[in-house]
Amino acid sequence: MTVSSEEPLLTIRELRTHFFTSQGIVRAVDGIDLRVDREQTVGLVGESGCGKSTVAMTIMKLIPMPGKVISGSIVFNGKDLLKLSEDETRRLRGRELAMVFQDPMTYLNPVMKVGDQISECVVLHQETPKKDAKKEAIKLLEKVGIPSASRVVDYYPHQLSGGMRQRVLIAMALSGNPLLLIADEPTTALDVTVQAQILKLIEGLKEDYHSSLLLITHDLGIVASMCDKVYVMYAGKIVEQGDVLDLFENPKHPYTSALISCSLSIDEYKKDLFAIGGTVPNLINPPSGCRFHPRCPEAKDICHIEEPQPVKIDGEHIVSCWLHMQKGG
Amino acid sequence: MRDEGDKLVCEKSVMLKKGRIEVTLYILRSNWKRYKKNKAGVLGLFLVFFFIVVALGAPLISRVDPLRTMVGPPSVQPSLTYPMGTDDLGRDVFSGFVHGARISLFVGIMTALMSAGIGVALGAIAGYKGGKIDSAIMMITNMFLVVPSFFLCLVIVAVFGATIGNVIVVIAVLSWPSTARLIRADFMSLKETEFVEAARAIGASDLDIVLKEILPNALTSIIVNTSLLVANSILVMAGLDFLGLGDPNVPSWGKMLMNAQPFLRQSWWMALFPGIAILLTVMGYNLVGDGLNDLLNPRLKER
Repeated sequence: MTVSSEEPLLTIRELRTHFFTSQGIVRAVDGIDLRVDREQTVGLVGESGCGKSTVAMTIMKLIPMPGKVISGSIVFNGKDLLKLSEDETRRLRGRELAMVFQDPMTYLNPVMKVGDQISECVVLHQETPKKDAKKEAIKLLEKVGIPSASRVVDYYPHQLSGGMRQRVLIAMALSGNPLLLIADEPTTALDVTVQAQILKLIEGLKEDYHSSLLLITHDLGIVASMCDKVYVMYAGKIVEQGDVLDLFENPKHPYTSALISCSLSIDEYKKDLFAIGGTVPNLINPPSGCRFHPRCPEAKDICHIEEPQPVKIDGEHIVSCWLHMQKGG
Repeated sequence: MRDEGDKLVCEKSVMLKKGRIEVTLYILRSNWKRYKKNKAGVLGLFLVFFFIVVALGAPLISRVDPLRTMVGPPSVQPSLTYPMGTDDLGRDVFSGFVHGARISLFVGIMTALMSAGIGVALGAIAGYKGGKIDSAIMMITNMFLVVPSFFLCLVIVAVFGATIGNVIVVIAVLSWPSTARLIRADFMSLKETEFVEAARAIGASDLDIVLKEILPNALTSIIVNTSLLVANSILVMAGLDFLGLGDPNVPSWGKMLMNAQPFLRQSWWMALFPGIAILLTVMGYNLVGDGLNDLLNPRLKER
């Protein structure tokens, strides 16, 4: 199958990933569409528990135990991921698809030297002979901005700081020169001072490697500074999507507006922090109609009853909200 | 000209070799520094080392055949000629003490390695694969655990003959289940860790994950467990010998104890020295196990 470079790198259609727990079916991802173009940075934002990470794990095909993909398709680089065998997926992981995780403390093997962990990836992906792998590991460590890399290769993870470990994990993710890098809240566990460095690093490396980036976060500031396109996710569904500038300047969905008002800024001193009332709904029994209606300040009668369909505002900007459905017709 | 060139190359390779040796020495030295902090472990290592030296040097340390009777008069107290006395048949107890170390260590180490091999392999498969494979392996393991293993040992050795080979195989076959359970538990918790998930996300195969990610993390328990297995095997073998089911052609501490039993009140030395030997060897391996646990756990390294 030939793949034209014009084709989007990743297209997710109507994806549903449910978890079959003893309490009931958790609809963590309930019919989402998502697209990542080549060399694009796409943000996926939402509160904790809205299903962002499940999307990432589904793309990697690493859904934890009671989870299962119910329907939908994930076409990545011309291949339908959900139809690939376990062996084929394994060959894809790391080489074409790579992931940077949330908590760098626990994602490194505690009894292996950092250098060995990276060289293992290098040997796996680049078919480099073992003895050159260490050199390659040092090179990668230098690339992710670790000072005195030739010494750090012989360190164990516990000898590194959080920021350094995240750099190591990024180095491992990049060892296979992936087409798509999924970063699942890569800076949540880090100090604010280190966050900016790591983000800048990821952005720079993404440019160097001509990769695409799917950035999963709840921090709108990060999205605004890094992404080309944003998807706003709420309770397993995409509620709004669009170009970053468009969406931030002109949010259509009440949830998006609320998220934006929640984000802190030093410039404008707010005495009372804004918070969205209520919590993310229970995904075993999601609210009827629009899932946001119990917390929505502008909810109308119809919101309780029927689910809104996506409406195109302009170009890429699409929103699923009754406020706009009526206007659009 | 050419000679000089060759000489240069030669020197270089010597230097390189020297470098490698120095690096190895450095690693040994730095590990020893950390191991040394555990005083009990050092004592254990000393005991193990002592008995290994005794075992290897047995024919030099005592030239007397430990099985030969009437080497001296029977039941002689420890003296300069017979450092540990003689037994009721005039055999030299010291010679038995020295030569008994050989067989104890041989059996202990062989059984420990065999049983660790079986236990680790089965435990790893069961823990990593889970599901039906796990159930099947665990069923077999439990079957072995239910049977009182020492009595099974007795029966098997009694039926198949008391040769060293049989003893080794029997002890190994009966002692792997505890290792398997231990390793299975380790694998079950380790396969859920995030670094295994990360490895999977990077495209590592099951074999890679088991060998490179999980096994090194389980190595501490494997090594510690193996050194405890050595101790246990030595004890079981001493038990078999004590009950008269040891290889009769091999000098062993257990058999010396058995011989000493009727003479406990007259010739205390017959029982004391082999008893001490068993005690010290078993204790040595146990202490080394503890020491290695401290040494190999990287989370304790920087303390």
